[in-house]
Formats: sequence, C-alpha cells, structure tokens
Amino acid sequence: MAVVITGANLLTILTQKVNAPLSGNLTVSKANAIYQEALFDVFDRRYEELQGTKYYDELKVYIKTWQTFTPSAVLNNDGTYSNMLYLTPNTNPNIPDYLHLLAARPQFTMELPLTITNATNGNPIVITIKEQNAIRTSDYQVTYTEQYAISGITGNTNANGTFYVKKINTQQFQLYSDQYLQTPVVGNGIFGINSRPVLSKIYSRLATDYISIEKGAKLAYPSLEYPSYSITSNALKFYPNFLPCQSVIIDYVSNSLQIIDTNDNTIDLTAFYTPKFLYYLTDAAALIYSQQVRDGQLESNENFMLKANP
Amino acid sequence: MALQQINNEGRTLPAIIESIMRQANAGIASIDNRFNPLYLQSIVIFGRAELCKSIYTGNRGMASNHYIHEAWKQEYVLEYDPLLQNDECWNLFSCPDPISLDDVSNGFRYIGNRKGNNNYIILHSTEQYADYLNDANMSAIMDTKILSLYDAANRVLKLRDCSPDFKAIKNGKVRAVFANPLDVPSYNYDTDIFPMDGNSINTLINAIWTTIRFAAYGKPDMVADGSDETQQAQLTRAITNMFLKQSANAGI
Repeated sequence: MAVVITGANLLTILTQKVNAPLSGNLTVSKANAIYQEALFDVFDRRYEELQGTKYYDELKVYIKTWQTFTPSAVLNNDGTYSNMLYLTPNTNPNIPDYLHLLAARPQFTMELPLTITNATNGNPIVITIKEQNAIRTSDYQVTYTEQYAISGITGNTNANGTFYVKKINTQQFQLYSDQYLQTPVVGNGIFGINSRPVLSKIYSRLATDYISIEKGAKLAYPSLEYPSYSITSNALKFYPNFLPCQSVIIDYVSNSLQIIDTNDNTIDLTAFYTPKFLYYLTDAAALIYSQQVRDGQLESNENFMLKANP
Repeated sequence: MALQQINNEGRTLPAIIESIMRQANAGIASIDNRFNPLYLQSIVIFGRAELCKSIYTGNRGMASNHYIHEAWKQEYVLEYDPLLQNDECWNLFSCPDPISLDDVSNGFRYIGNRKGNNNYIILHSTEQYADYLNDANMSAIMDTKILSLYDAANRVLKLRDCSPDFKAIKNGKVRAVFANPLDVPSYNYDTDIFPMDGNSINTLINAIWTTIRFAAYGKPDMVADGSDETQQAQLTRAITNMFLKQSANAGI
C-alpha cells in the first residue's frame, strides 16, 4: 500500500520534533513559512550535490529536460549578438519557471567557406563542392551527428534546407532528411545557373560556464565546438556571440514547487516528493526552527539527523 | 562501406580532451580552469608535436628511428589563389606550418604533384636557397627541378619551376605533420581520428595529465629575497623532464 503524507502529517511530525506541544510555539502559519524556507534550502543543497540517481529522483518532478527555447538575437553596435534568454517572466524571451540550470546546448549555424557547384536532380540529391572540405557522413551514433544547411539554390529548390549527409567522395555528398540516412531528399529541378548557394554547418553542443575571470583569456574564448553561457542581467547569455544563437535546449530545475501547506490533509505530497525527502525536509524545518528559538540542543540534534540521513 | 565513426569516437580530439578532464574529477565540467577544454586543446596540440619529434629523433635513451607512422600525417591540397601572388619567381600557396623534427628535417614529408608520384625538392631555408644560387653546380641542378620553400612568417609554401617562367606550377599536394592539425581544411574536428598513431594517444593523455597534476603541488615563493626557495623551480624542471620521458616511452 502506497504511503500517503499530507502537510498536516508533516506538521504533526515537526511539532513532535521541536517539542512544540509543550511550548505551543509552533503555529500553522509559522510552520508553513519554515517549510517554504526549508524547501528551497534543501532544493539548493540537492542541486549542489547532484550526484547519483537518488538526488535526481528527489527532484524528478521539477527537473525539466530537453526544453527548447529561442533566445533573443539582437545585433549589437559592436557586431555581436545579444543571445539572451531571460530568467524572469517579465522579459521575453524567458524561462518562466527557472530555478537552477542543469545543462544548456545552444545551437549555432556557421557558414562554411566552400563553393557548391552542382546539386543533381536525382534521388537522392548529390551536392558537389569545389574545394577540399571536412564534410563527413552523418553517423547517428556519435555524440554530435553531422548536420548541414544549404540555402540559395534555384531550380532544384529541394536542395535548400537542413540535411544529414552521406559522403560519396572528397567533393560529393548525398542529402537525407533523417539522421539514419533512410529518407533521401529527391531533386525537383535543374541546378539554376543563377544560384548563390551557401553551405553551413549546424553546431549544437553542450555549453560550459563562461566565468568572468576567463573573459579576455585567449584559451577560454568560447567556440562553436565549445560554446559557453554566462548568467548576466538576470538572463542566460550564450557564446560565441559573433553568431546569433538560433535556439537552445535546456535542462533545468523548475521553481514551480509544490509548497507545503501544513493545514492541508488531502493533498498527498508523495506525488511531488519522495517520502524520504519529506522526512528530511522536516528535519531541515526543525533545524530552522531551532535557530529561530535559539535551541542549541535541538539544533545539534537536527544537524546530526540531517547528516545521518542525507 | 565506410568505417563507423562511433567505433573511433574515443580517438577524436574532443574525446582526448575529455579523457584528460575525466582523470581529474570523472566528469566533464570543472571549476579548475586548467581543465578548460580550449586550454587542454592547445596543450594536446603542442604535446602531439613534441611527442612526434621524440619518436622521430629518439629521446631519453630511446634509439632514433626516423620513421613517422602514416597516422601522424595529413594531406593538404595546394590551391592556386591569384590574389596571393606577389613574387616574381615563386608561386605562393597558403599552407599550414609543419613541426620540426631534427636539425635537417621538418614535418613536410611530401611536397609534389597532386597524384603523389612526383615530389619536389624541399629547401630548408631561404639561406640555403641563396647559397645554392651562388653555386654554379647547385644552381644548374636547381634549374632542372621544381623547388619548394616554406615561408613560415607568411604561412605560405613557395613553388618554383624554371620552365617556362619559374611560375608554371599551379597546384600541388603536401603530406606533412602539421603543427596544428586543425589548420587542415579537410580535418573534421568531431569525427576524424586525431592524427597520431593509436599507441601514442594514451601516452599523450598521461603525459599531459601528469604534467597538470604535478604542477598543482607547486607553491609560489612569497618571500621577496631574490631567490626561489620553494619547490617551484624544481617542479618546473621535473615537469619538463617528465613530459619528455612520458613522450619518449611512446616509441618503446
């Protein structure tokens, strides 16, 4: 039978822990305030210590993965792009329920210095390039599968778009619409002589923190292979900012937490938190209470409990 | 059928960088900026060059073999750019710089035609070229051959063919151990195996990791007495020796 824990149950436990039946000092409103403080405190601690499945389990309801956002990409006077994604709901574009970042994968498209000389009207379309190049067959098993974008082709307009490719030789490759290279892109006309083709590579990589002390360092400047983010002006800013960030896939911890209402005896809190987490939370709440009432014995006891049952 | 990239993803440059980072904290993110991937990337590139030289020349008791495994070499196609031409006698081609191997050899292993069956004479320096010009015999020989000379300052390769006007050569191919493999346009950062032989990758990773880890124990001398009385100087020497030793082991 599944365990049911309500806010009222937690209040009972907390009251016993802090010996409040005798003092009568712990009211519902005070307990709610303490639980809210404890909840964000424990969430932060869990976020700091995200190691192993247990801690992820405890935050599971609030961890959002593979969420796609489109940052602002305003061109600044210095030629850089803003690439900002705001963390408050008041400014767009934003993550409305952001609490903590777990991972960010910004996407950029970089034009390659290559000349497309032909796009066959075949099945699949075969692209010919004039220069030596580093285009490789898209292998769906690798971390970052090769993906390219083509624009500016007239006549055979199906050759414009975003594609996965199969390399034929050093200067030719085929176009596919899926990373498994099962769905070829079929031509729909003759390569136009007035085409102005542009071939670009799509980069979507895991970003790392671009800390202030590293800004200006030659060996830390974010690249397309190693993009970065910094948290600034209440926003996430993505680098390299000489290109517009087209989108970003983010894993984060949501701030839409189920607040503990110790007056409620109907909502089963185990739908939002594990039972162990709720008991740990109660110890954290008792610790906060002990500090408020200057109860050294209780504080010592709760510190021990929190360490003994992490 | 082409080889699956997944089978060799661990031998790419990003994977080598990640291998070094993971030795520190078993993860790919570290607040220690010695594990910044771009910093590690530069160290890996420098280390590769040093390792190649160690294998070629011998080091720390290792016999020199003057052999470079094919995996170290990259191919660069020389493409004629009319805008680059500002020399009366030579045709200029942009070309990445090679490593140096010993007192007479650099990383250029082949400079020749695109088919790969006609190699040009590789001159070692402008000074050597000037000496040859002033020597009647050498000058006569040079006029029967196609010459190549690398201009490191401008990162261009110069080709000279006496017929008909010293500027007949309009294309070519280079196979070399380049100082920075990323300079070669045909090198794919994500999927290509980092250009070094398979049994040297682990040596390089360990050499760099050991170097970084060892440096962490260094303590600066905070006493302004004009002498370094801490371990820092010894550490610096030890690190250099360690790197050379680790590198040399690659050929054993």
